[in-house]
Amino acid sequence: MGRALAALGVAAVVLALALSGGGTRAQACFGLEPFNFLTYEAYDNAGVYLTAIELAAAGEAILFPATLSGEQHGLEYPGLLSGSPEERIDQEPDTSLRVPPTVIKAIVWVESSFQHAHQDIPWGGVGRTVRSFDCGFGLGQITTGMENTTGNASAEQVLTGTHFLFNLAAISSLLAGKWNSEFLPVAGKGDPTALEDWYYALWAYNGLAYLNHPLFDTAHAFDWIDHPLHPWRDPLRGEVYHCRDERAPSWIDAGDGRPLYDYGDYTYPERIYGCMRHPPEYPARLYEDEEYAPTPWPAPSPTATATATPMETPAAAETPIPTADEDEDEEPAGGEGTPVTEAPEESPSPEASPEPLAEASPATEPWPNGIPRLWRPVQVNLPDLRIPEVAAAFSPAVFIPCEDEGFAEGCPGMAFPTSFPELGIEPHRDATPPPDRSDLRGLLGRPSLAISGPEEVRLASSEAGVASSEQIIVQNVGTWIAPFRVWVTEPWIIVRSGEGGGHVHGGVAIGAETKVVILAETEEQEEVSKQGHVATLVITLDREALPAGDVLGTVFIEPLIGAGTTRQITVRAGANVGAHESTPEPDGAPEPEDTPEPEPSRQRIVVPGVAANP
Amino acid sequence: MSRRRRALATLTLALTLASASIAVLLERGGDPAATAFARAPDGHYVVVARSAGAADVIMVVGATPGGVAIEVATVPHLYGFGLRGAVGPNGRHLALIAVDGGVPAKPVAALLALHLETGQLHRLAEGVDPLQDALWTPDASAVIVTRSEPNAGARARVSVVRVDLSGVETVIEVHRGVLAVAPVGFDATGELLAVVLDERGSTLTRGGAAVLRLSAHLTRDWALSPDRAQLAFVEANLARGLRYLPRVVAIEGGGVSAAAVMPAGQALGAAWPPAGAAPRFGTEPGGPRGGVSAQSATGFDVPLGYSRDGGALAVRRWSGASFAEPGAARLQIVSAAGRQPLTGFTRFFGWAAR
Repeated sequence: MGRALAALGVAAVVLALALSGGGTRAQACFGLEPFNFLTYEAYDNAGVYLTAIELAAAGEAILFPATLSGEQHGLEYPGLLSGSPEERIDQEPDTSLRVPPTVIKAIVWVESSFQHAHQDIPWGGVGRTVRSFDCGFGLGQITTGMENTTGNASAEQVLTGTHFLFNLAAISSLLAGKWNSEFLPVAGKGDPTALEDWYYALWAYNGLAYLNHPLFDTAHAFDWIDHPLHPWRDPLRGEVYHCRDERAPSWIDAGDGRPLYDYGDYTYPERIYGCMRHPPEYPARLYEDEEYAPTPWPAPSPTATATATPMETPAAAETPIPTADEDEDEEPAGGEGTPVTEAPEESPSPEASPEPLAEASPATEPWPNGIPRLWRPVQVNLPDLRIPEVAAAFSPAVFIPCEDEGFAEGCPGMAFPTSFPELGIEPHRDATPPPDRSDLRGLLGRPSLAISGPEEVRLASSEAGVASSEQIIVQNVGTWIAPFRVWVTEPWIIVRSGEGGGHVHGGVAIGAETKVVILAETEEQEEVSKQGHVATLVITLDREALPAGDVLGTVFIEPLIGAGTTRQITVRAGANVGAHESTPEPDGAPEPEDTPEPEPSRQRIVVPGVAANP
Repeated sequence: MSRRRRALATLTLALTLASASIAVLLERGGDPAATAFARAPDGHYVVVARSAGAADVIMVVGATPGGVAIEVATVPHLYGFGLRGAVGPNGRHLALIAVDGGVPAKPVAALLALHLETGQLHRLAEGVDPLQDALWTPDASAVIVTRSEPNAGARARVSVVRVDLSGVETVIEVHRGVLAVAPVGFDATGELLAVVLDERGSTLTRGGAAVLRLSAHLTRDWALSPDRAQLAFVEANLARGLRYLPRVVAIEGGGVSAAAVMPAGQALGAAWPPAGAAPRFGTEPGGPRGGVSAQSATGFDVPLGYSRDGGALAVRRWSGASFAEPGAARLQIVSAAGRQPLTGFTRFFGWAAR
């Protein structure tokens, strides 16, 4: 549904352009051309991404600091500070404190509707990563640090763009950065377990960047447009966005079944908190499939407690990313492109039991209101501006001077309490249980990259304007997703996907145990599946950038995680360079000796907090 | 159906609609009076929009019981972002702020002009502020909009831009270090009146120069009186917790005062009858009387705009008992004939007449 809506949005823009007789639309990507990344979209985007989010929120997703070549990727979880600004002085971030996972779930929904790949890519398929006009990439529409300043992508950029788990880790890291920032006001007591205390970090997430991005400005990052009192927003829009839940109080039917107020009428925090309160429907495609359907949430425990509990922190793994020659005795991850996890026979522990909900569902009802949702509704308060202490924090007389100073002092005037016991107002916790760390193995798999093709290519440019090309085959002889970087030393070298498109800065190869969905080359473009995905890269020339005379350059194709060796390909080009006569065909790639036998699997990932299918 | 096929089907449908719309527009090229509205009987019409997901359908509805809805155009936008806009003084054009660029989290808006009698839609300006309403010049030759430009390392700069119907832009005011600028009308000499919101609260400007401090708070729902001598607005007063308080100010030589007809209580929305001396506010139930004439014990009206003859008032009717719990809402036309529902319409842009 989300993609259909997105398609409509695209069509709308097409229509608008048509009506305008054409026109230009500013592109807000900084630096050189936007990066092009290829990625894998999990078929079970709900189950897989929800599990990955919970690991990322807990800082358990990425436990190694560098790529195979030793480049720091910077996507490790930084941990969280807590307390007032004074209490945070000289405090080290605590990695045992998590970002509330439902916050990230709602962000991913609002930003991308749980889609890491472009809408043209089928669920379970491989193709270009979804990218916004301002170079927001993937699930979290990450813009921070994603600008192309050199023509080549850093390891962090490639991993964020090509692999959903790293993209989610980037969200978690960014949010933690906002939370820890001395340049943002602190809501409530600065308690990271209190959902209400995340208000300013969420507000700042929409701007994404000013803490880290030298090209953005403070106004963009902490924008007035998201101020709840902006006079162009209707005060009667309701406290939070309904997240398209017709049962939400703020869903006001205009009389034709459509909402009077919609996404655009709400501030960014109102959208996030709204979707936390009113979670989106579980994708029918999965819900109606026995293999992927989630099971109803367990009924709230009668011993439910609202007491916040520190997150359980398993001992750190010594070797977080398995390689092809490790763990030989362990079962391979796989099946349907989804990691391996057995559904726990869950009953929530008292510590992890859900918050009492405003609208508790009857025990006989499998889902609240009978509709399967992506996550359990989370109750959360928005700042109640009727309370003078809260209202004062949102005065423009406070906001503007702080904005003037770039929030240099953290803007204590914007701090507001989130607890008013005398009014019965207390902050809420996210009762999502701690993640099962064993899920990580499945989410990372055991990728191992094998690259085949010539070590030297000679490319000629004909007078007719046709450049020759050579193919390189990139295969994952391990399991799951093997992200790789494409690095070129010269701007006249283009490396594109064998399936077309522009220069590719990074991509993925998928292990043979994983089912990959492709579209049949028929009129109907029916979805069919194959085992694994071999990436075909085509090295060719950018004739406009090609200098006169014979020139020399290099392409590096570098595996980033798991196992594999960087392939260096020398490129010679020019009018006097004779092109190779033969070009490797995609299907002609040598079969690696240790390619595992494709083994279709019925294994699937299970959403934590969801009991096993009966 | 696969998601790709579904997306393609949707895209195909949308493109088909687009093609049809373009064809209709081209067909209308030689006939400037092509919409049904051009042939509609004399009378007063509200110009409203019905949401169609990623587009709004612009319609005119006669302000008589059982008034027929006439479709004028379908204007696309990002999903979840309804159109804003205003009908021009001559009642022929509709200026629209359409969020049809960027992404939902970072929307980009354009200024469009729709001719209500021909259905022709023109794109006039890009990158304008997405949530604003547009203001027409009195001679209907141009539209005033704002464009905020974040200033590196400092506050935003807001430009007030005059855009004529051929798309020629003229920056007429620039305000630095402000939150927003809301053009509200023109004084008798033709000078632009605008409300500047900044850390001092709300200030009325004329021709870009401050003339009157309206409030130490943010204000909203500004409405200039027909004689251009007074400004009605709602103050978002934070002194003792947020309260929306109705205010009226005399622009020349007068101070701000609570609206005479609204001694206390909260209100939203303001509208002046064409020949009236006092504005109407949408008062919260339980407050003092004096708001929209048809205010009742259950529910409340937020006024949107009077018809040109003052015989009808477009309102958003809420069923609830308070602003905190407003209940359900419907657009309605309130007149001597009673209440005419505008079921299914989400936006009111103004009045047109034939």
